[in-house]
Amino acid sequence: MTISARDLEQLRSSLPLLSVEQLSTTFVSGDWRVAAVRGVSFSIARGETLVLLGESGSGKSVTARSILRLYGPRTELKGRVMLDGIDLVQATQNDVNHLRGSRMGLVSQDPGSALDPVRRVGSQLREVLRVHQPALSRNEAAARAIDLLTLVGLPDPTRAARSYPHELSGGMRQRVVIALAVSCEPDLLIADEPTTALDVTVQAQILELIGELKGRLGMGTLLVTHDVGVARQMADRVAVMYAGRIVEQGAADQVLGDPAHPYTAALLAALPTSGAVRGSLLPIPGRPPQPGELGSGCPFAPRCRFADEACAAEEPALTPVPGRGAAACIRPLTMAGTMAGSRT
Amino acid sequence: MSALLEARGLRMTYGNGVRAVDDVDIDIEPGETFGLVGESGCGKSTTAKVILRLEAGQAETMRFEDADLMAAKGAELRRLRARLQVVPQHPATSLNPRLRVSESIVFNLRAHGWSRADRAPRVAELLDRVGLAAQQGRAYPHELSGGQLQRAAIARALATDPRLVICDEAVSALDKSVQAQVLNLLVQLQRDLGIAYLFISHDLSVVEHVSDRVAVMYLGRVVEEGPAEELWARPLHPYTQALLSAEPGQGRERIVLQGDPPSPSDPPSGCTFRTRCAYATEVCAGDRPPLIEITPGHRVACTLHPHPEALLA
Repeated sequence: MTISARDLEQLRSSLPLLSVEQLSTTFVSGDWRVAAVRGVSFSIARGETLVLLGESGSGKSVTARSILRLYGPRTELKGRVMLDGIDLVQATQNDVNHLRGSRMGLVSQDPGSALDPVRRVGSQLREVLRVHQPALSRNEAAARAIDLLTLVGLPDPTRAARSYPHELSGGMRQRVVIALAVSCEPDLLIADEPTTALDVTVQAQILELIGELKGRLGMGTLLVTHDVGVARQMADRVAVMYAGRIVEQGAADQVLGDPAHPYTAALLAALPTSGAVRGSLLPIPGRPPQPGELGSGCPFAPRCRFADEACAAEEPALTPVPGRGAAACIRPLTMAGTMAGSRT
Repeated sequence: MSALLEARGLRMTYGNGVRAVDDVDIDIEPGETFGLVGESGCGKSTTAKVILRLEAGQAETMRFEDADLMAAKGAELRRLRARLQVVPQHPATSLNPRLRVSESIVFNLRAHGWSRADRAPRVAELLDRVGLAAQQGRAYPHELSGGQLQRAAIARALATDPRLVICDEAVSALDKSVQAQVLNLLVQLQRDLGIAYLFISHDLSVVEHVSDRVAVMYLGRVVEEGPAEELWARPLHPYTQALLSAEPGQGRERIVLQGDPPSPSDPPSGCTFRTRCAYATEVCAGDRPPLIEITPGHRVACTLHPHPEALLA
């Protein structure tokens, strides 16, 4: 039996675009080790948006940057990160360099530092295009750069191409960074807090642009954010991180509407919402553990209102919850209705 | 009852011609929370600095506790500043890294003439009020978490028994789970001590949660103000409508504005929002629309909302 090209294509499209298995990232300095990401697994399909949601220090950005292999030799990466059959953890530096930009695009938080301040925007775009597509002529690259600036909605793309980054506003700079990220039509877009530094009306523009490009280019998107509202607006699926682990994962509606993990529920309850009585927000007591402070049990147990001795025994693994996604909790919350009574 | 703060025609023009604050009126009643929202560069923090007399702005009148805050200087200004304190955004940079938290609080007490004997019990009382242990009072700023630092900054602001505390993005740098702790604390302190807040933030849901009244600023001007509940239920200015709809993950139909705010050094004539406004007509380029009261306390500066009496005429 022979396998036709069509069968291969079908097989390829049935596999996830990105599959992360037991990824761990540890920063090492002499005898000092900080485990920032501790065994994280998820996958992203073509055209799908997965949001990594977490507070500062939860390991969400380190996860994104580990996928791109942006850390140096003093960082230990373990696990597998499969992009379309290639293991990015094992790949050579040369292969990774080639995949970045062409197959994976990065949009980072601060568009100011993502761009070279002393080179015109157009020249930065042309460089990326010609590195990854050597066949492109100078003129073709220049024309394509203008197309890209048009694609990301800059009002005067020819003028923008001649501008230095400081001559553009924050929103326009982030559009340029997005143009760079999608310049080679990557399969995977990694957006790390892409709108955190922007004003809310500009944030709305940028989120709309990312959604539109995702649809047009069919990219899988990994969106890292601390903002539940951004997650609600953008996510197909959500993975909630706490202390370097994914504590809950599932469809966005379910995770953000009817959470199974007490941390997700507590995070949502802490948000000021229209209905909340002033001064009666439900904060999470204490603060997240530092990497050195992790004990043997569930890392959220010291702050969890449902915790008891059993929670201190061992760290729960991410386990499927019937009818919903998965949660790392020995006693996941049941449906919101039944739990709401006991939580008051 | 007279207003705690009554500011008319606040202006701040920088040497380069940028009008950061352009004719802003702010009245704050005792014990209320007045929210000030707007995007970066709209002049909300500069407004706070003019009120605090940290920027040499101008005002037609600026009265605080029935004293002339604009003209005050020397001992009188110091006396007023004890009653008018600030909680800044970044406690890590606003607290002196080489002073223990308690020493930072003492610093404020000493500046306002508290006797040596009264300081220590006052510090203990303040730490207790903001939920810090005595041991945390002895800590240096780098030993505390963001939420604890912000409690320390609040304790320092409360030291001199202020009537008005300006919170300039006071909870913006905190994670949401910790932010809720500090917001609850601010509300509790207001209930216990009767202080008023001028609460400045770009975070709309936070401002809605804590504020009695809210003003929306755009390019140095207040374009709309009113009771918080009313403003969120019935925003009248096209900018307010777009701003509220832009907040991600809520139910409103999104109005995505085109472009960026114009440069404050060269603002458009008339209504400064007209260059991005879907409803703009030639009229908007003419005179600057004044704030007009539509319902009690709800004022808007937009030609779409003429004075109710003008409609009858």
